[in-house]
Amino acid sequence: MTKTKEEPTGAKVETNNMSNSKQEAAASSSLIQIKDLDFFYGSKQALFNINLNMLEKEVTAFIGPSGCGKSTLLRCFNRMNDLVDIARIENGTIHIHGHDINSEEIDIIELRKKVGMVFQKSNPFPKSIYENIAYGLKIQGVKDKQILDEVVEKCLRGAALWEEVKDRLNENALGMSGGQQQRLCIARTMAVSPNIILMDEPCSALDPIATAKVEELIHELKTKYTIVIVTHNMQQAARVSDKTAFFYMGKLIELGKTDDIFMNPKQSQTEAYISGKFG
Amino acid sequence: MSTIKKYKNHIFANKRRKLLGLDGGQLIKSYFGNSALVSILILSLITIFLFKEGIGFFGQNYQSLKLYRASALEYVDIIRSQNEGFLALNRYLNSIRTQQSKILDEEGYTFSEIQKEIKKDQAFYQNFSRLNKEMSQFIASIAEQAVGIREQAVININLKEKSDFIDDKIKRLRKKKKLNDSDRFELSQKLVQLSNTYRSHPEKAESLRLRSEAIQKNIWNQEDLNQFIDFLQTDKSKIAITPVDFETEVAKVIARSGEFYHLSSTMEENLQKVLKNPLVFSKYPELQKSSDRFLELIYLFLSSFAQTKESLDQWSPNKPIAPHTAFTAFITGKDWTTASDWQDVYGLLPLLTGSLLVSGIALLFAIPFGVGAAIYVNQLASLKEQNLIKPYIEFISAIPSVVIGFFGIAVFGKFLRDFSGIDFLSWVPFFPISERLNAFTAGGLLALMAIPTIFTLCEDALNNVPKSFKEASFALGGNRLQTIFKVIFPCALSGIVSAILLGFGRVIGETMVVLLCAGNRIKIPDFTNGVGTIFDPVHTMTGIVAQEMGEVVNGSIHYRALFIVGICLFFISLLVNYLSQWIVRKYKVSNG
Repeated sequence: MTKTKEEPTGAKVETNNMSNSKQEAAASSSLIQIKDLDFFYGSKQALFNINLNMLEKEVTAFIGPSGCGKSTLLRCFNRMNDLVDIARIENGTIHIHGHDINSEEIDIIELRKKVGMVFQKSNPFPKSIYENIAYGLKIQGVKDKQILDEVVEKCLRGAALWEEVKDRLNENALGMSGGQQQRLCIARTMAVSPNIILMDEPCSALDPIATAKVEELIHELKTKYTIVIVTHNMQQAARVSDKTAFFYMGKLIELGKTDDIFMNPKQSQTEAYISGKFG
Repeated sequence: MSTIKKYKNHIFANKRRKLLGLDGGQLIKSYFGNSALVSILILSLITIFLFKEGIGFFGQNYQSLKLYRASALEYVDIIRSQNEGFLALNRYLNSIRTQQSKILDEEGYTFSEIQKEIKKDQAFYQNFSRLNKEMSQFIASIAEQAVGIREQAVININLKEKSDFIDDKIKRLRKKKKLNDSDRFELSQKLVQLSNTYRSHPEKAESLRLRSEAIQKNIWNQEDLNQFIDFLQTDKSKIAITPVDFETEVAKVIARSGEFYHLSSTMEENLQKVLKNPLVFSKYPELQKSSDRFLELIYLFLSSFAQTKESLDQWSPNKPIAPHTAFTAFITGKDWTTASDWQDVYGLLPLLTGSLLVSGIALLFAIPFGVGAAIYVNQLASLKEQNLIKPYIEFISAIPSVVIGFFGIAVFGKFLRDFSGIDFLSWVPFFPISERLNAFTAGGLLALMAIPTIFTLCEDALNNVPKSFKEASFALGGNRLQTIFKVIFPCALSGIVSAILLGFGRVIGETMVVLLCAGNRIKIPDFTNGVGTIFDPVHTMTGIVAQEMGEVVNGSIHYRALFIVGICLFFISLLVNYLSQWIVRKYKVSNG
């Protein structure tokens, strides 16, 4: 109980560190702006007063122990939480490209096209590799075979998968290895040309070699997309991200440059977590 | 002893209490094991019983077919089939007559005017229908002759059975030298009967009565046993079997073919006359067309005479019947006629097609409703709606089938007939329907019984689609309908197909509703007249077993035929269940 009382101040300390003018300047140039977000599952509050800005073409890693709300926050960005009946945002706003994504005028389908998502467990459809990539375009009504072929090749190349699968595009995607499946899911996300890619522990089910390939891919994608990655693996966060946010019990404890967070954490909880004292 | 005691006190000693050498865990295990064993045992006993009772059908059917040929019934049937052709012609002529009066009625003629108009052609109609009068009489008499032969043969078979039975009994008595309960009863009865014949010797009669009473009390000696054997032998000697002389009797039937050919040629002459003076409807081209068609049919009929003659000439009572005919005649038989004074026919086709038609109609309704409801509840409905809809649909399966059946008779069938009679709907080709109880009524109600099965299993199949597919589709910008029809439905398809198959299994095995609502007319649905046939009454495999099982003689061919129908149903259900499991196994979709 004492902890819950402490933490809001912790979050405030973090935001108060920046001066007001600085904060506004950061907000105007950032792609994703979260302001005073309170999120509930039924009567249970999952996120407390989150304030966070993310810049374009930057990789932000969310770290924290299980159940700290980092995946919930990630799923707010493309409103995946709408699928959960009891989930709701009580307070605060999320702006992407300056638009409040929770407002009535937002077309949720357009939003999800711009904010792609890669899930924890690779989930290719039980269709062919080709169909998996083409799905996003086909549901938009694209029928031109030439365009589809081009996009499929481009996305597979983008996901460094083309050389491995170019001869078996019509085989079922479920026949691929776990790492390939996850990269296929990334490629599938790219097919609808998003600006932001959300990754929810994309490597948690992969072996080290497949993980290395995905991380390499993230490095390449950074040049084109804004990436938000949730991870349990702190080395991974250190390797792939520019900025790191540490969450604990539904609160944003600390946000900063990845190097700063890992080398020189300002909050004692962050330090405790990073050094492996809990979590 | 001391060592045992030592181990009893040891900390690892087994101190659990035992019953029949088993401890608690083992007892529970053996209880469950035995329960499974008993159910398997009962199932196999049922199967064995079904086959044991049913398989004798083919032997009996074979004998019946043999007798059909040996007693010349087959021969008479060839003659009869030619006459059937004439009757069909007459029916066609009657339809022309109905058509004529209908056309006149539509043109505004009054009733008396119509009568007058038709009267001109009345002579033609009447003359035509009289053409086969003599032929009908001839057929009736020749049929009687053939049936007579068969009757005698059947009587002989029964007598033979009776005498064999007595033989067996005598053999047993001689071997075991013991009287059992029924023997003693029979013997005492016979002694009483005998005593009644000794009116003039009351003492002798009295002694016989005393003996009879003693035997009933199980007091008897060797003499009584011999007496009983004597009685049985007298009984046996009284059975006089006069063997049927098939050859001469059948020859008598065949000898009458000359009579038949004569009648045929007379008929041919008369028909030629009809051909020369046909009905003419110069004012009504439609009727003229029918009349022309009628002449064509007469030509066809006449050309069939040669065919009939050929079959009659080739027919021989001694031609062997292939043993497999007993089987094929059942599977491909187009008729199911029982307890007739002619030949009993057991054919599966009218029942099978009836069952399939009713089930097909049921699925036609049950699939869209069941699958649609499942998709709605699983994918679109809110939690509140789910909690309302699911129990309601599942509740349907709690309605007793007999209740659905009488609802069908009293409400649905009646409504359907009244509805089809509305003038506004008269453009529908097969409206108004004439029968209240028909394949459609039964199918519509069976759909009600298939919906819960299909709904529940479909919902399960949809539920088994990994949620991650749905999330992936939404994350790529798919809307609800796209997600349902492009991702979830294809993934659940194998489960849905298997749900439909199980729904089919449910309706094809359903008895009460079809028995009450299908109309129970044994006839293969004939779709050459259009889809209106779905409003004709049919009979079903389940219906016939339920209807006739209570009335058949145990062990008769009819009894066994019903068992074979049951076996066929059993196999259909087995196949459907196996198929649905196979589909699920083969096309199972799983995530990673």
